[in-house]
Amino acid sequence: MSSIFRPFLFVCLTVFVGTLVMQGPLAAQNGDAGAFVKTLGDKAIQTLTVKDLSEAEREERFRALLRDGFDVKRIGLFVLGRYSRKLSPAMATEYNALFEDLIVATYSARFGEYSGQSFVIKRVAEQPEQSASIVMSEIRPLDGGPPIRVDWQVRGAAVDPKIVDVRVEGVSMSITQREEFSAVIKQNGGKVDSLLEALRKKAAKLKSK
Amino acid sequence: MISRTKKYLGDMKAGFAIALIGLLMLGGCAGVPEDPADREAYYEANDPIEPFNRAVFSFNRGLDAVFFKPIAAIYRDTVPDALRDGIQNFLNNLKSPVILANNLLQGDLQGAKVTVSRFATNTVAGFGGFGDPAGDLGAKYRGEDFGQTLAVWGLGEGPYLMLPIFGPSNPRDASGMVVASLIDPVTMWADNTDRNAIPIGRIIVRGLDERSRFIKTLDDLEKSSLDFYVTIRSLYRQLRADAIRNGASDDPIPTPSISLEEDESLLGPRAELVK
Repeated sequence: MSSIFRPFLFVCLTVFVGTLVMQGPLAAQNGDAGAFVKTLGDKAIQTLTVKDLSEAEREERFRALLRDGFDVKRIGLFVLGRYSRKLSPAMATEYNALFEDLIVATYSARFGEYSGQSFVIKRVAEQPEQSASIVMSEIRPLDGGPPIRVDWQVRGAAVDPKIVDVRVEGVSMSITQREEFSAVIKQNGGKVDSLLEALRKKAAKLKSK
Repeated sequence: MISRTKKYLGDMKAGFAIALIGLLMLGGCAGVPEDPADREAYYEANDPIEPFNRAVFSFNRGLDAVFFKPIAAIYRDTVPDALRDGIQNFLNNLKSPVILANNLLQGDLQGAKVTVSRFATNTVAGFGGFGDPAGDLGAKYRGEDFGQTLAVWGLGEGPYLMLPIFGPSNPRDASGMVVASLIDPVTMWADNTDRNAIPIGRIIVRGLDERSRFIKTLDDLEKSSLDFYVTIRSLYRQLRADAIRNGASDDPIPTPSISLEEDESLLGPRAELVK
């Protein structure tokens, strides 16, 4: 039965996605945050999913996009929670670099697995009391399988928009990272050094593979 | 002899329960850390019996490495996708009565309508539930369980709990699981007709199917995480919270404080408990 439905559905989906893509200005009407995320996502797909791109080159391109579109420093601060008050300036510099490396190593490789999914902005919810705009989007696989829900929390949408959190199917990357980092520090008697050590080890391990 | 064995087993159960309660209380008494940063981490973790949970987690992972994961990998690599999807659809369809009960208990009439029409459509047009024509037409599958219903009724999740074999949970979701097994019509029918193999087989196939779909995701997660136990704990909580809100919502949740001024931006979701 479903095999009869599939071609029909595929046509519907193509038309639907097609209209969404053609209505580029629609995103802009939804507020600047939506257009901002859409542009960034399209740029990522364009530049990071090129065939035969070396892993190192992909990482460099990803890092540039990350610095451009995300407030990595702020995310790093949130992720440390109150432990960030125990950072000396030298430690803070190293932490920022290690944290950025971890993000690059974790997420850049995912673009190597790209297989033609489309990236669609659904709508934008403004949450002024949290000075946040939340851009709700979907990543749709080509074969019509279930879409993946991705919400982008954007700060400063009107002036200099930067992403501060990404939720995939409701799971916040910042909160997950925060719980992990604080667990490492707490288990080592509240010493932030232990986290830097763990991050250095992780970076070496991710690089060596 | 039999009654003695029964009594012995009963004693063992009681003993186990007492030991578990003792452990929970001990854990609870372990004390809240003094340092505000440690205290914040402690509250956000909400895991007073962490040493016990970690032990169960290692046990589960050992079992997974030698047993569940290899079998799931074989299942994934040998059974054609279409058949695996069919099996998943069939199992989902079989859950309809329990989902419907939960839709109604949550006062979600719209959800109940979807569950009923999905069940009717898929059972008839989907050849006993192996196909998912309802989903293809836009009425997507959405699971509901008693843990979610209890949450909708206002019950808190309680501390984190790692169950042997079943994995991450909490007192609320674990009780929900017990209730579900008691009122599930398929299990009840099997019980009454002495076909105990059916519910057990169903649990095994369901577990196999789910594990086979998460092999790569879990491998990737483990590679990038600093403490896999904590990653799973965090993911479980957030995914449950999302399921309770029924996923895509008109009113998305922002990550608290992350967008605020520099000084406040590091205060987390449980900041009020730390002061």
